[in-house]
Amino acid sequence: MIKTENLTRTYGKGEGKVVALDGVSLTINDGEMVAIIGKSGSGKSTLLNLIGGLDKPTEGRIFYNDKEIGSMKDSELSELRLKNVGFVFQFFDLIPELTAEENVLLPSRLAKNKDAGADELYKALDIGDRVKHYPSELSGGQQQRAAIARALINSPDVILCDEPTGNLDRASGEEVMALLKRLNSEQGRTVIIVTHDRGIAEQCGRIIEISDGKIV
Amino acid sequence: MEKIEITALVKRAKSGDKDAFLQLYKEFHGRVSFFIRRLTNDPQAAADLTSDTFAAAMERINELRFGESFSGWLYSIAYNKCMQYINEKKRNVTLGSEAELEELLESAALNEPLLLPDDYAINAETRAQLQSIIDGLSPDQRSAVIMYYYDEMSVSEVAEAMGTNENNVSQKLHRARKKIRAQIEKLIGKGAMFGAVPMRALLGELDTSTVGIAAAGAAAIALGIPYGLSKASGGTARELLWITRKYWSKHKKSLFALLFSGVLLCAVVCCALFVIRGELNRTMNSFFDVQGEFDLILPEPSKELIEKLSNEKTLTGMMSVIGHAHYNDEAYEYGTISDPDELAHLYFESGGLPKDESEAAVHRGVLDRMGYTGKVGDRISLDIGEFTLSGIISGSYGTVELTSICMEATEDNRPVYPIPLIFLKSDKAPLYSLTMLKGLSLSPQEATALVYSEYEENVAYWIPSAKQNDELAKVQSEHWEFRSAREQIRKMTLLAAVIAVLSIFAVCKTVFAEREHTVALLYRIGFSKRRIFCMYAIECLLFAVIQSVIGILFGLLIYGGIYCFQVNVLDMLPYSGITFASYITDFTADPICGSVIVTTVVLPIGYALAGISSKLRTHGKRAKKPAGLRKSLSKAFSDKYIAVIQVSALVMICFGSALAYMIFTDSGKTHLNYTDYIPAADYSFGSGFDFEQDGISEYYSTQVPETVGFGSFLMTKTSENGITDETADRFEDAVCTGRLESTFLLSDNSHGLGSEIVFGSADEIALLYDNSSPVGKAFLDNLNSVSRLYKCRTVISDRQFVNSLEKYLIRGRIDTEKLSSGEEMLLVVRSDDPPLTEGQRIKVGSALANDSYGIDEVSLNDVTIGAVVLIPKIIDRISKHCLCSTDEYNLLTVSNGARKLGLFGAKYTEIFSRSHIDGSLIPAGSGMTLSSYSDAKQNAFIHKATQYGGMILIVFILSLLGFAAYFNGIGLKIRQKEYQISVLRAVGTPLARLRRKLMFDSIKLPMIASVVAFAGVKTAAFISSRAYEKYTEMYISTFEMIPDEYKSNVSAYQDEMRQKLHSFSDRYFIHNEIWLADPVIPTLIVFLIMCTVTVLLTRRSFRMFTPDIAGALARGRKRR
Repeated sequence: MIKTENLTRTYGKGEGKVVALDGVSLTINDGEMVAIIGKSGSGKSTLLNLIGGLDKPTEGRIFYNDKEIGSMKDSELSELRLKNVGFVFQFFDLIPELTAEENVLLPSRLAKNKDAGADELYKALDIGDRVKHYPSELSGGQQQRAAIARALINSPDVILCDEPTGNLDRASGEEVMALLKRLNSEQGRTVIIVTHDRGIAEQCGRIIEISDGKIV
Repeated sequence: MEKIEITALVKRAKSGDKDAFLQLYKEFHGRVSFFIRRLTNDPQAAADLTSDTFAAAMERINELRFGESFSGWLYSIAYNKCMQYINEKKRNVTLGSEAELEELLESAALNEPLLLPDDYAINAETRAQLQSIIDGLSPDQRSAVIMYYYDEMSVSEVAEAMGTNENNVSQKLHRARKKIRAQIEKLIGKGAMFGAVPMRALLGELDTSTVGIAAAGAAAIALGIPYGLSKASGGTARELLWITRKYWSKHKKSLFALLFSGVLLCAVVCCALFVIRGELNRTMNSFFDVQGEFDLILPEPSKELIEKLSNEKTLTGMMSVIGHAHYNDEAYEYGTISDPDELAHLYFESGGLPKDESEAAVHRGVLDRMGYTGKVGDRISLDIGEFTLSGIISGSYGTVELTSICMEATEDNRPVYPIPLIFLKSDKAPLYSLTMLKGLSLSPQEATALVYSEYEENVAYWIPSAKQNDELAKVQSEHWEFRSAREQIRKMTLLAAVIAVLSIFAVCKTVFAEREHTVALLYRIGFSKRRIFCMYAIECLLFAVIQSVIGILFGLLIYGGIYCFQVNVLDMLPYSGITFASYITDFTADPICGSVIVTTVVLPIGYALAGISSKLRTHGKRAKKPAGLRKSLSKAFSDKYIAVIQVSALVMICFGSALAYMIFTDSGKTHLNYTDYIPAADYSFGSGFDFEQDGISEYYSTQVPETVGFGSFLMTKTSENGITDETADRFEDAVCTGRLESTFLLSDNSHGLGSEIVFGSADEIALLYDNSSPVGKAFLDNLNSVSRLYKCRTVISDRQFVNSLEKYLIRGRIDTEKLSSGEEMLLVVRSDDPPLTEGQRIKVGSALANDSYGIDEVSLNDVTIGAVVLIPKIIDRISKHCLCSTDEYNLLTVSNGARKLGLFGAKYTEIFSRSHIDGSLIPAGSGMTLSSYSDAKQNAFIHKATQYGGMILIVFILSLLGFAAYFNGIGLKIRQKEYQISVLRAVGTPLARLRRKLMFDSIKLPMIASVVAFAGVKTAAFISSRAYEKYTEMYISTFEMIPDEYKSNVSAYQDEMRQKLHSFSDRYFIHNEIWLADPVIPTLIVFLIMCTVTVLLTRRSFRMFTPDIAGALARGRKRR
């Protein structure tokens, strides 16, 4: 269960202060598939980053199964990101110097998981024949699938996706969505998707809409 | 239009049919435009956004799936554009500063990567069309568009840059967009490839601008930038420079790093060339002065004088302004020297130059001859008046040359002693140079007037042109001091230049990586390669100019410091590299031009290398198995170029520092110690004599005064009694390695112990008889035809040392008591074939000449050879204590023994003392001075610094340069990897692990560098020590053991060998005597310093690891 209490994130100080997220409190239960929607700049990505431990809130608290992550040390937070959370970025963010396979295996190696079931993942994501390639040699869809594989390699309970289909053509986007839905329904993983696309959001069990940093 | 028609058009458009897209555009334009206008409530922006939407649609048409609704898809694009616009507009209102906006934008991950293949929009036709459009824009509009869209500046920044207000800028932008929109529509009308411009890609880049932009805006960029370049004349360069300026104003750190490297390079080259000029200037000066060939210190010489002097034969001696006087019935010459350069040649034993007219500085030789034993500050009486002794000039002041000149000058065949008396502008000293100008057939009065009038002016050299070139060439090729100094400086400068290029390359590489994005953007919007090249070229040129100007100023400043240091601290002659003397400037590269040329050449090379290397971005081989964690991390962080540059820089630092350390400390071992007896501390500190091992804290030393008369047969009188009992006793407790120069052996057989003293002409014998005392006459009379006099070297040493010779004993036994009582002496030999054995008796003695021209006192005693000692190895440190290096055999005794044997004229060259020796014990008039160990060390330091000053300074600057290159690297490297680091953190890599990894990567470099440098020094040392052995052999066979086949023509052989020795020693740096030193300590010190600096800098760069990973990731993405 993920719970946030009065999450606030501001940038800057004084007059130029920008409130990206303003007192957001929400609870996401295990096995839920949630879409966070909102316009660009509404604060949805900020919310996702905070939930994923990629940023610290200015105020408020985030709980993972009643454990507050704000008080965690970097090593604990890293452990959480490594083992419990899989993050899929809009821009894939594969390390360009590593092949797709090395990118995918990186978290499993960090977590010291020997048999990570990578081959099955490749198969499921249909990138088996491309994993030896470098990201610059892959298409957007292939990169996104590699990024998803990387997010899933340590079998995290929570999968956070920031506009997972934003840079994909429709077909790829649909495949990715289907995969996420499968992960949610078949394996009971919690999936949180940030999107501005209503069509995608409607495929999720629950929609949280954010506007101007607040839940509508 | 029916749905089926639309589907068909889409299909055609997807296959690249532009007409089809044009039809789609016409069909949907009105609706989309209306839709957007409604959303934005802003008709102007709506028009832009509409164009933008179509541009994106055109670009992404292939992503549209079969059967999907084109209109829905198009509207979604339009919607996104509008949202983007509205959000940004909103932010524009609420945000205070650009920085905060950027931060927010980054956190919201609004940047999008360029997903288009590069060549999509880049075809010549499109570009040409776009360029033709841009012609319609006014320069002002173009500028505003470029700043605003390309450079992501806010309206207010643009306004500031253009010197106008924000409204004005907005208007300009609006008009530009309007114009471009019209142009594009016109183009579409012509069926041109509107969609071929990758608008979306551009917009992706331009998202961060404060106002939403439409396709027209993007096109404006595409049109604006090439325009400037398309006009070869007019504002082209200005605009290119403007782009450059805008870029660098946002990358100040990189700019500083780049400028710094270039400035340093320029400064180093400039400085090095000045140092080389300075060295040549100095060498030339000392060469001409010492050689005394023909330097005449004159200002612009008058024609008359030049004509007279151009007859080279007249230039025979060293120019000194010398007066003429008598003292105690003997003729003296004296003079004044007021020229600062000339005065700089004087070395004072004590005291210094006179401060006013009542003072005088006097040459040591003069004082000795006057029998004057006073010290500085005493009143001294000369026939021209009484003066206070301000300083004693040491014996090294060209005595020999002056003597020869003066000898010629006298009329009555009595020698005239030169007395470089120095007065300060004393009217009493007549100023003329009789001896020098004798050949000019001027009267002394004329000569005086001539020289005086010229001499007082500003000083310059004048060298007869006929000989100038020959002599300069000779100096350059033969004068090893200069040649080797120049060689070293040249090599070092070359290294420095290499480092600088590396450093510049490192910065360029980073800058290029950072800038690649910008350049790609320029390329996409129609910048041709040629224009990008032009931009870099102009930029390079500008940088080179800036770097050169600042670099030369720095170079001059540094050289000024070096010069002050050389003159004030190192006591080097005040000849600088900043000279206009044609004999210097004609032969050395011009520092200003040289540094400018190097800087101007190196920077484009750096750019070119960086450019090429950015093209060579190859991935490693695809291994079958994916890399493990450790290797993956390494791959993610690796940057071979920068690593190589850093390691090179560090190797240079290590190498240079090890070199400097070895030169400046006494870890360098002896050199050429077999060629002559060289007082260890006095000449090359630490060579041969181990002060610390022998517990020596102070020592007396002197240069044995020149003896006159019959070679060195006669001793000049230095004191009444020579060594006293007390002196001898005390000296036996000290480590005395003094030697008697001129004892004689009376024998009917030479025994090979010394060369026979032959009295020459009848005149000489007459002179000797006329001047000898009755004792001397009796001695000379009693020399019968059987016995002859042999000049014999005798060495005095202390008991302790004599006892230590036990292990070299080959015959007899050492009895120090008998040595002290004068009964016995030791024979020290080099070869296992002694001319005498133990128990044999010989007659030794000495003759003392009070006035140098006759024998006043004689001692002659029988002595037994107590023992024979064999010192076979010539380089053995022991040999210094008991052998005169050029002799095969020496007699050795202790101080008391010498005294008992009546060797009363004994002079010591050195007395090394374990404890304090009372100065009064030193034989009076021997001119011995006390030096402490630490003074000697300091002198040795200064000596070495003088010798290698230029090189050391270059090494120092080199190290600075190396450090700069290295430091540049550390921060840049980690900053460049911010993206990779952020991704690793995002996927769960603990920060501690990343820190460890980065730290290890950083520290690895100094480690590798230290090992490489250490190995380099060791290898060089190995090669050099082998070369040194070879050199030794060559030297011996040249000067000591000349092979039989060359004995008929020794001088030609030696000349040839000397050349070989020179080139050999130059090739292996033998003169530096540093290669025999131990590089462990310096390498270790430098290693530790480098490690500390590395750790600190690396830790400092860890500051960028904030908890805001998402922000860092966005920043990293942007940088990529």
